[in-house]
Amino acid sequence: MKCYLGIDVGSISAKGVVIDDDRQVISDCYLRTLGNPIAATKDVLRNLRENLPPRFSVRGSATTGSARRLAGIMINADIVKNEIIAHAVAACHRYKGVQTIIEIGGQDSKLIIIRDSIPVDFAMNTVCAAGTGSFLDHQAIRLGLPIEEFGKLALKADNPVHIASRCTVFAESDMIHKTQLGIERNDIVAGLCEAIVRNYLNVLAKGKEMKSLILFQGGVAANTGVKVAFEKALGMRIEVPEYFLVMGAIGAALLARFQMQGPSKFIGFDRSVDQEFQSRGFECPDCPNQCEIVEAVRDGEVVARYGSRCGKWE
Amino acid sequence: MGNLNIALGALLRHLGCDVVQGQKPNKRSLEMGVRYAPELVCLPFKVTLGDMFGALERGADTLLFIGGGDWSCRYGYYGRIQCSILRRLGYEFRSIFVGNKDIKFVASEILRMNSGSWTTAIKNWTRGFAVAWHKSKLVDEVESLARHFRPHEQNRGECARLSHKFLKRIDDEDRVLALRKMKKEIREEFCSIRRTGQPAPLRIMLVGESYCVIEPFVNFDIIEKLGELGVHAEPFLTAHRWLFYHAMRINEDRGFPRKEARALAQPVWQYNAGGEDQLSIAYTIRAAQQGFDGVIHLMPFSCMPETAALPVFERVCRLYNIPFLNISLDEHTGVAGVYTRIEAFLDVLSQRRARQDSVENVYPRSQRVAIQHP
Repeated sequence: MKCYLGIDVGSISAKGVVIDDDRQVISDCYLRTLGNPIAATKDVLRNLRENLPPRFSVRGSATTGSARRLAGIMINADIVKNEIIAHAVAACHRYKGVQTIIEIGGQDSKLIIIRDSIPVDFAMNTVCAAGTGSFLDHQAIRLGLPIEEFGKLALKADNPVHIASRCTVFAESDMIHKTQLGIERNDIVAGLCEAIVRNYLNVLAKGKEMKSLILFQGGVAANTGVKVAFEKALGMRIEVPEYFLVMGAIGAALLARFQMQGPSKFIGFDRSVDQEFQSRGFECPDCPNQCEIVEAVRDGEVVARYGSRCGKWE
Repeated sequence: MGNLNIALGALLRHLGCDVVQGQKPNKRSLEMGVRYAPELVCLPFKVTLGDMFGALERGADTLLFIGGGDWSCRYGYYGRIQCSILRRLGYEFRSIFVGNKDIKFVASEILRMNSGSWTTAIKNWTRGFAVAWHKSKLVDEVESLARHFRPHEQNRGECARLSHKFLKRIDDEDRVLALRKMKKEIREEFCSIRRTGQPAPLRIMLVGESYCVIEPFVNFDIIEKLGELGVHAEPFLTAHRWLFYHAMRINEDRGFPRKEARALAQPVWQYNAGGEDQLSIAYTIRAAQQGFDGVIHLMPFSCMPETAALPVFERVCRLYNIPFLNISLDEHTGVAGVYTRIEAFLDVLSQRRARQDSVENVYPRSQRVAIQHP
């Protein structure tokens, strides 16, 4: 059976899918990166392999996400693509007529504008993590709630409270202040969801035309509270795709499916999982730029180096 | 800032100064700058302050600040603030501010350096200026040829090697005649680079704050990196144009005079907010008119004029239907985020172009209605 592998390693979570020749997902996996992209990539591959049929051959592989380069070197991927295009490809392929993609992940949020199945414009949040999944995560811990229940609680709220949305630090002190006033927890949770939406619309959607069909993907899409808050703010229906968690990985796999010519360079599931893979860094002493060079080592052999400005280590 | 040091160094040497050849801005200058600069100040302040530490440590006893108090954004105060920061840290040096208001003082300094004789001073100034002008023009030529040929080069790094070689030769050569002769040689060598058969590359206009556009250290070598990806990036301002047309206001820029640029930007942005915002907007409009594929806007985080102009850029790009990417630069070493945005932007541009080409095949250009000037 021919299949294609897509891996999306982000800052908070690592995702992977395997699709068949008909572009159907046959195996998918979502887990936390926990600050170790190498281990997470291996775990993803291990999980993916368990759901695969006994006989298969990988015809193409692609990586995406903020650790796409590292993961790409690890498995010797055929394609390394940025996550913006990967998300757009997956959405366009699975939903005809999509014009807007809202993607909120652990550490960043994106808005992709699509016209006639081609991404024409995008925006990505700046260095700050306000208005992303990790902000909600953090507040959930503070309120002593499992993040999975956030959405349900938000839906039960009668009067969502207004929480400052500009900055995570302001939002947090605002939230603490409102809890101390004795406001109900449901209302606080719903307020947080609305704050995220306000932040998103202010930071990313300024001057962009959000037309229907709007897809909402990424980890935060699991939170129905945020979805409802988006619908309220935009006055439009929002669709959460079936595989919202792994859309980036699906996009990568689709790119591999469409663009592969010739045999895949992928080193195979067994080799990828069993390899001794390390990345180590050093500062190049040759000029005052002191670039941080990253060296990727597989089974004791240097397979790639990158990070220099002048390009002499590559 | 960029290769400005070559021309300015020559000018100062001719005026009788012993120039400490500054190192290019580097990680250490950024570190020192961030440590001693006010937190909320913009990136160019921090980097230039850091460079001064480097220069003082290598024995400079006089610091020259350009734009002493009469610049339209807060850059005008930078020289004086940097000067007092350094003094408070115990460094001892003479300071010279070069601005319209200090012209008398600068003239007297020049006189002093030439042992009080006006004739020698004027002679040296004229000669120095001529050499600086020619060097600067030649540097500009090298940069523009490298920009032009890099997307096409077959062996990666060929243009970088050539520009490095010629920049060094320009720096070492002090005779005007020899400099003039070098121009032909430079052109010939660049033209003889082995090229790939790749057709028209994507063309991107770089606009924004001048330091961010010109200095490769703060903009992650964006021109070179884009070139290596097969993309032609054209900055709206180069070191040569900045020094002579912009700072010295000597000759109007022949390519796109400031007056014309102002007039072009007038309908959307009536006045200059302080930096190069009005000029940048004009170049954005011109890029759309000249068929560029996209515009990248570089600015230091917290830059007042560029932040004020940002919504106007977005509006202009919508009006003229040209993709736009804003990159706000600050002291971060993680370039991955910036490259992710740039890569995605390039993907958007090439898909857009592919679609336009298919439209072109169905409806030839002559039959399409021109986009109306708003």
